[in-house]
Amino acid sequence: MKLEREYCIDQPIDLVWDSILNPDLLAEILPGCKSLTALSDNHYKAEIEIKVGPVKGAYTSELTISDIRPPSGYHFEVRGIGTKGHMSGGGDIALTEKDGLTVLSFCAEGNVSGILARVGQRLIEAAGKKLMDQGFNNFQEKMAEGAYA
Amino acid sequence: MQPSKFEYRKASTLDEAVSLGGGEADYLAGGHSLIPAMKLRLSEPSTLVDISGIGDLKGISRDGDTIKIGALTTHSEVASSGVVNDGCAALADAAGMIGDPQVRNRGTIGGNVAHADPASDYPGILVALGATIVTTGRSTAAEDFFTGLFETALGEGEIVTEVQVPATGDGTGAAYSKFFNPASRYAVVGVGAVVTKSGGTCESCRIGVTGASDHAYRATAAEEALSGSDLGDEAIAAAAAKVADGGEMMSDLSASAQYRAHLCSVMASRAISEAASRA
Repeated sequence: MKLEREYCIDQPIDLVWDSILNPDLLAEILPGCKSLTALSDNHYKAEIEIKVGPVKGAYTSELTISDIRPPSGYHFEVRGIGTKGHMSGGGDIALTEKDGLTVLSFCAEGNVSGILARVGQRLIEAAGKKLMDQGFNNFQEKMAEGAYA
Repeated sequence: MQPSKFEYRKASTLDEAVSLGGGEADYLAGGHSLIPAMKLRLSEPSTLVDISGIGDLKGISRDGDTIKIGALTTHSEVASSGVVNDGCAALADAAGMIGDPQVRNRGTIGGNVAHADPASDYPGILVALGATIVTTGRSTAAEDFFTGLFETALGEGEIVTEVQVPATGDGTGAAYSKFFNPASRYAVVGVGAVVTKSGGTCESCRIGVTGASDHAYRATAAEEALSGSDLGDEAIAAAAAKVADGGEMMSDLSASAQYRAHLCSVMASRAISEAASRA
């Protein structure tokens, strides 16, 4: 599965950069995130509960961030183990400035296994996009509130 | 596989069903989406509230120019209904294309719209027809009812009670065309079209699309392109080419986003031509 999304954020690039590395903010914007704790520098553990249609699952994920290039982007790897299947993947987040706005591009590739992969194949990608969009909507709202400025 | 343990409650009235619902409870109508999901343990409701015995939710009637279909009406009942075939044949056609005989004999129109599977047939034709989804709390236009992947305007404990469809009047024709997934018979892409003719030209039209995006949508760009046209092959092809513009195409094992966009155009051409010939 490949996920590519691009979001335009009405905030200066430095502020967006600080925010996307802020674990407190990530915990608030990740859809269904119950808790996010730092295991070490750039290594986090998240408890996530996601409901898409009739499928509700709880997942424990580990997130590692590397190749940090302020303020233009970083690479991430994620592994999740859940009641409905396992997932692993990685990708890049890149920030660019455009007309005073910040464009955030997200490009990731991942694999899903377990029952989700066997029976939910036709919906995994659509669900992934939906969760991404939800996350970035939350992000936009938080930024607009100025809570992390 | 067997489902996880759950409590079963059978409601005999709508009020009782509402009071039993909410929280971790799910409503059971025909059970042809929910029960398979439960058997795979994708869905694990703590309580199943069976609403299939509520008499008020059954039956098809016509009130003036409105066809009223109770939420518990099965797909095969819609497909074979004289009232539906007389007033809105395209809906009967679409109902007859859903799944297999088992699904059509058990699955219900209310359960179908509440589940809001992105590849389901009803949402596409209902959006095109300008149908209204009536629930325990309110009435919502079909195009506003389907909001996302398995997401609807339904609130917690809210139950779909009826689907109202305007009968197609003089000068108006409707049709539904779909590309079947050969295994599941879900709509890879399904397009419903309603065309109103005045003289030889298209006075107005509505186009609803399912299967292509994560929820059913109205192809407004294509509608604008078709309105006022002569409904000739070229005009139809030009409008059909814009049908994919209204939604973000899904991509999965059975069809890439690009292929779905192509299917949108082909299915729309067929549906529009058929609707125009019936007008």
